[in-house]
Amino acid sequence: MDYKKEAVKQYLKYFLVWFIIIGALAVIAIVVTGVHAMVNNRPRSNQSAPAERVYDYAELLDADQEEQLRSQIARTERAIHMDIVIVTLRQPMEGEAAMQEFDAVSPYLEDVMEAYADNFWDENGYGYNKNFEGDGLILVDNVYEDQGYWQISTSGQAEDELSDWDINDLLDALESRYEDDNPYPAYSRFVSAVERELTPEKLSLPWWLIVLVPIVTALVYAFVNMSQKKAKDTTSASTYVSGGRPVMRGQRDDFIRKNVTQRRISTSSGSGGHSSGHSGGGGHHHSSSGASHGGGGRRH
Amino acid sequence: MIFKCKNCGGNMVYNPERQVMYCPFCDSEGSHQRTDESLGDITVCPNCGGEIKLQEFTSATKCPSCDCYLILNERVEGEYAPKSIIPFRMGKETCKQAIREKFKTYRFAPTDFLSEVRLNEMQGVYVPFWLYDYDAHWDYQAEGVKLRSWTSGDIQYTETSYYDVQRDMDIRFQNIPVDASVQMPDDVMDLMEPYDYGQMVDFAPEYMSGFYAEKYNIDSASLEERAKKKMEEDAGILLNNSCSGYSTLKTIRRDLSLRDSSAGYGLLPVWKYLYRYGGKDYPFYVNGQTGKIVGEAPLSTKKVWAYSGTLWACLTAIIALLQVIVTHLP
Repeated sequence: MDYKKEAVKQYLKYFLVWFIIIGALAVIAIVVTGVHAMVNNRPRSNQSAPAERVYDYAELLDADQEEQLRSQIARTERAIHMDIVIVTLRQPMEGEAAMQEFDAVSPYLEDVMEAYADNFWDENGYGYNKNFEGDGLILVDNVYEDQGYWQISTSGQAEDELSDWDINDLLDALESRYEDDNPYPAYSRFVSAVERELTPEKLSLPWWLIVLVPIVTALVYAFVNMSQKKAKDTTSASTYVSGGRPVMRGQRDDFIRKNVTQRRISTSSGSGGHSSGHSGGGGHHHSSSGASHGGGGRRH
Repeated sequence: MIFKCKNCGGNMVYNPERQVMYCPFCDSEGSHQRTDESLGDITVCPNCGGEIKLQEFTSATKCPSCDCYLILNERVEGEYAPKSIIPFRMGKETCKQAIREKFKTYRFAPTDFLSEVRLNEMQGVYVPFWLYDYDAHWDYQAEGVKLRSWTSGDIQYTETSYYDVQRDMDIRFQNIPVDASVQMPDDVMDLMEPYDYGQMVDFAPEYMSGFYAEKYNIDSASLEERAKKKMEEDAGILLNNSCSGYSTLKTIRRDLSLRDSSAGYGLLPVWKYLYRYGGKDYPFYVNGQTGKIVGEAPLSTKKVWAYSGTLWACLTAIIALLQVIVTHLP
């Protein structure tokens, strides 16, 4: 008899169900990814906005960096179907003159920056799907003297999806890598953060779980199948006793004395807990053109 | 001696299932007659003249040339005459079935481990045992303590009661077995127990025909320590069992005395299957009366790796595919 063949046969028989399951899942995966690719292929439908995404008026970036930023933004736009625009400025954005110029609601830096960003978006007609209240966001970075300020202005789907917390996260991403003489890494990180925030969240297992679960299971399986006992001990103390039990000739269990001790029990009561929560509200406003925007800013 | 069939002259053997002498050649039962030539320290088979190599303690064996079962008179008579024997109750086929049943779920054994060819090498052996009897007596006294505690209001009470505990107890141990074969590992023989002594009968050489056997290798006095130790352990447990209900026992007197002891020589049936794998012997022993199996199956490292590795790969693939499917669902 050919035992190698027999062993292979046994192996295949044992894992047959597993192989079938994997095969079926593979087919499902192929179908699902195919359908996903078809559905997700949503081309840009706003053709009126300019192709430019990076306006480096303050000249903070060199030509290479601008190019890299443009291609990163292009990739991200295809993935999340949002326009992303970055503008750098070096000009006074505070006071009456600026307020007048940019049609802001107050002379304060925050409001002027907000007005500038909103208008820049609206006037250029940005938005992935349409040129009014279309999907996307704009980052305006002013580096003028002591008026350093980042303004993020959101529109359309981006406005709906990004909460104040998310805007804060974006600003944090920006701030964490920002250097006055080289803001490129900060912008790049900002674009990545935008992609992360606006990618629809899917149920996704952490990688270590994917690695760990099979390893642990296989180890347990190997261990369980390897361990064996020669045999159980099936004799007891009375196995070889004639009649199965000893013969009691005399037995005494006489009570002699007793004593009682007492102890006070200390009781302790439980304590209450605290709960805290946060609630965020929308930071929505309207620009001078009447379009709705969201977003926020931070001084730097 | 050889047991031959009166009808056909074939070698008659003891049939465990039917519990009779049986002729595998002409199917007759009980038609055995004994050829009584003394085989002494023979080197050739009296039946066919083929060469036979006897080992020092062999008392029954099979001629490798003619498959005839030989019983050596001198090694089952006189000082080597067993007092009692438990005849085989399980035949080879039943025993093979039992081994297959026990190890069939064991994935990592080599493929031919349970094969017909290998299992056919199984041998039925009568193993020499010393069976010890002890008439033991316990004289025991202790101070027993019982604790009881309860709560009333916010006071917890603990009551400690003291008792005078005495036990005067006879324990008659019968037939504590200790194997008298050097070849048989002690721990395995211990695990093979218990045998049902209800089926023990006076020795007759007929039961040996069809099996291998050994005379005792070691005398009863040299082995008694093991039986005594077992007896003392068991007696201790039985004493403790009789004093249950106390939280502590402070011993005052604890004397175990032996009023009588004796040892008898008996043969107990064992099926032996020796599997060689990777240069190592894996012996299996099956209680020839009860069918209890003692032994560890060999491990094929290749199979451990193949099976665990495949399981690991399958699980990883399944989880990864599920992940892909879930993240791409609309």
